[in-house]
Amino acid sequence: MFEHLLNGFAVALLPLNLLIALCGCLVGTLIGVLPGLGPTATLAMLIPLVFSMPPATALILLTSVYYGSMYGGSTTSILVNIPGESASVITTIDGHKMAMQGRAGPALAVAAIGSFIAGTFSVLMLTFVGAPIARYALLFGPAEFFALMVFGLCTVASLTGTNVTKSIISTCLGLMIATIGIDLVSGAARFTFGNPFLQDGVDFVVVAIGMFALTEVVITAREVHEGTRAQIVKAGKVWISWSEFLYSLPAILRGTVFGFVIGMLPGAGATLSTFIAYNLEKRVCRHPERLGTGDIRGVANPESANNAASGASLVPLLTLGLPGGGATAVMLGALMMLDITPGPLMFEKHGAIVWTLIASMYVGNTLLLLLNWPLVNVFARVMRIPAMYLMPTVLVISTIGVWSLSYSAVDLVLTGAAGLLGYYMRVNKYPVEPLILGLILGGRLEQAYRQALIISKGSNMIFLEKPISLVLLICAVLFLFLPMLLKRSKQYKAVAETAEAA
Amino acid sequence: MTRYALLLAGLALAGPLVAGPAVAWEPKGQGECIAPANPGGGWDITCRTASTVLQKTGAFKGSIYVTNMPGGSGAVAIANVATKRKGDPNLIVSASNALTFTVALGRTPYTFKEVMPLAQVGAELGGFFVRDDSKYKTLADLIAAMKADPKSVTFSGGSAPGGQDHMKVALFAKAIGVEPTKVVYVPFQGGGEALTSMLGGHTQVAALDVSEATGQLEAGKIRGLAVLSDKRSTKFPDIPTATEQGAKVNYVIWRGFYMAPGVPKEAYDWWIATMKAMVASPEFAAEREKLGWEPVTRFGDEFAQYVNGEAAQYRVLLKELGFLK
Amino acid sequence: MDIATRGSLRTRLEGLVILLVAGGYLWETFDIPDFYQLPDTPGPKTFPELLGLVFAFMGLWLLVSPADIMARIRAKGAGVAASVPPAAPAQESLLARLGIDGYFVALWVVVLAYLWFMPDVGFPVATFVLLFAFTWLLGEKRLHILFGLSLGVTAVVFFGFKYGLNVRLPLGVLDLLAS
Repeated sequence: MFEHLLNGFAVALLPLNLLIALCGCLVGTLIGVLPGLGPTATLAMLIPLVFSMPPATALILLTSVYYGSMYGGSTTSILVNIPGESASVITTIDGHKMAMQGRAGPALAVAAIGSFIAGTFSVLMLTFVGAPIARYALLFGPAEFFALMVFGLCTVASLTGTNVTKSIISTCLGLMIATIGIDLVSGAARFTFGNPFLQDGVDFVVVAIGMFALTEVVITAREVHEGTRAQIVKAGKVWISWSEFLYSLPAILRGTVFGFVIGMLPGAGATLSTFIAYNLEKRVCRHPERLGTGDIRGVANPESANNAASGASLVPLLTLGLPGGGATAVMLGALMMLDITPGPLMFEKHGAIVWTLIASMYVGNTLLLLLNWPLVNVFARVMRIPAMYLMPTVLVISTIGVWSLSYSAVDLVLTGAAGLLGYYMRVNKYPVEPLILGLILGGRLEQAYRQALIISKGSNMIFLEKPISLVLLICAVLFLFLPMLLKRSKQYKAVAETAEAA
Repeated sequence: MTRYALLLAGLALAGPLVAGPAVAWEPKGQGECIAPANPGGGWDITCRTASTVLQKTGAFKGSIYVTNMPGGSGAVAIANVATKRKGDPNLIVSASNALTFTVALGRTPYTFKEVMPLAQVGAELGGFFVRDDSKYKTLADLIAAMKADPKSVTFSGGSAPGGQDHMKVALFAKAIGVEPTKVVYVPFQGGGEALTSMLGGHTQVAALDVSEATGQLEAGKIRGLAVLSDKRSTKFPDIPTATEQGAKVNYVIWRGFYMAPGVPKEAYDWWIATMKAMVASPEFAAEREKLGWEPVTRFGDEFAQYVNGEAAQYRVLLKELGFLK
Repeated sequence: MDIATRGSLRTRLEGLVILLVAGGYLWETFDIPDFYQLPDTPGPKTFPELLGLVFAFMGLWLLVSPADIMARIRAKGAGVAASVPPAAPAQESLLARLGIDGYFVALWVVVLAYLWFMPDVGFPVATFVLLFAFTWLLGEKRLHILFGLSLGVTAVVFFGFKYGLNVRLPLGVLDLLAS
């Protein structure tokens, strides 16, 4: 195996391939930074180039772009409070507060370091134990998925909410938006009003750009107008300090492990893993009350989780030939066009290329970290642009992000509506994150439930008979009610108070 | 880039030979292929393959851009093309019989009559696949089990009911005399997930396209019970057809293109000639091999009649299943 | 006291709106066709109906605000003179209480108009107007800067996305001028 891997490195480290990887990381980061253009869109733009290159080089380009854009997504979360993709929603909570406190540099740096550690961990796992652990993805059928989604939703209970009612309303809204479109399990059109643009449902990007970008732009405008905008603290140091790194290391490691375990399951992997990892972090870390107030661990943890998850989603694809969702589907398409049929025989039939791909993942991760050393500096400077000039441009670029989804005026109108709703929610302290989680999980939650019931011919016992789903459901219940039991403990009160103040 | 330009220039000289009969009309400027789905899917691959081959062989001078326009299983793209792109001679749109379902189910006010069906450039076979250790060794085992109790077998597929994969199951059930609405069919998001659930043992039989099952078939992890066609697959000739095993089902997934309405006759003819030349080229044959497509083609009026007939046929079937009133 | 009553009025309004939305949502569930369903398994309506009911319940909860009522009862029980406070000092209009003023309306009109008209008017013109108007609203009143900045950003973004990233942006009115 080492021999294969070394051969892979020999190809990946050829000057041309190294240059391609560097360009890929840079381009990926720069595109990923644009709100609304996430990894999937970025990869799709590069697919045409795949044809004009040797297969190994093409794959190196794709992976480095993928890593770059995953990382770029967190940049906008931190700098302007707009998540570049669904997996960076959680990062906004602490990331943007850090930026307002003049710590954009350390926030971006810890995201880069976390991404590097998590990414490298995933590749190591893929290299050495990929095939055996990938089988674990097969254990998850509809019943297990349903339990996992319920568990994910229950984490909302402790998310930002001090006000349970508002959290429930927000989650409910997200779930309701998720029901728009053609129902997969029955084929029936729901809430589409006969409009073909609504048949595929409302895209996450539409809601996120509305709720985060539009809202942020308008709120900032008001603050500037009324002169109440908090002065952004002049950035101190640009890179992270050693003590900050040690402080966030446990969060990075926990995020990495959770991200990997959840990310290997197809579907809403990366996003779900950030929500779950962040909430578990809140439960187990020291000083949980600091999370949510601009704590560096609040960036380190979800960023590691989502990078571990996106690395993990490649494990079933490469070892078993089973694609997950999103970006892996694009990867699958690229592999097919390069005449590499993904499947269990991929290592035997296309060993050289697959090992080159794996080697290029190590290289890509490392390059990204090196690249970000100077880039963090550049991005952190964005905070110095007066809001008066920055915000209108952000608005325009966000609009293009929505427009490029499917060139539909309906999407733009929906974005406007989401913006108004998001504005009201922000001003009146309704948490937006539960809505996003509901929107992302809603469809899958319902599908998994009904798929499981078709399999069990209508018996709900299926969720209790399957051990994995039973365990997950028990955990979900604990997650929901544990806070209530702990309510009287001092620690909980402290958390609530600081969250209220924020 | 310069190398590319040279290549193009070289091929341009040979152009008329490749492009077939000399037609007065020639496309000017950039070409465009709309893939009505996200990148990586079947429609996207169809567009990208055609655009690559057409440019490589020099049949299309200039570049052909691929635009992804996902939405409503092709409904968004057909509406856009039929209204906003009328008469655009440089535009082709990829399609397959998934679009026929969108049309037959009435999910778009447009049909193949409002656009100009151009050509079918290949076909894929569908089939039933089970895990290598499944108790269903042949299709006969499956038929026997379903006749005894239709609910004893759990199918998985990558489409909603009333879509491609469900139709394989429904047509099969009909052919063996089992009430199609009694069959247990679990819909998943895409063939990959349907395959995963079958491999994990959560469902028993996966209704997929052969290309989706290729990787696992080659590794011997799954077994093909039958392909749903009159002819066996060229890539996996070991899998018997359903017809051979007593269930007469012929359900082939075509892959092709349509054009915007009102395209001038000369341009339409040029595209037909170009498509004919393309499918005959060795470059296309290589791509077809990669993708596991069957060399089945139809052009122009023949293709238009075929898709319109297919839509009518599906409508009857969907009515029987209760999807249409 | 003032803040509390203001909050509760708004909460009640929110409750009412949520109740109405839930009602509309539930009404729309009647339109969902009920085909293909195995017996004993939930159909396409089940989940939306459940959601609609939960949502309606939450609306009702806010409308009635039991916690609020409980607090008042408790306050009364404690003997504090917590009679319903006299109609809150009504210098502020309802709109102002909801945070709606001229500036707010102007901001949203500009943003929403951009989203609405961009596909038809075309990206370059709409974007130029948006940048101009929005930056002006944000307080930059020097015309030459407004003009130069809007033009520059529009050009850079337009050409960058169109040729760099191959995003198709509508030309709109410019298209008519060109032809």
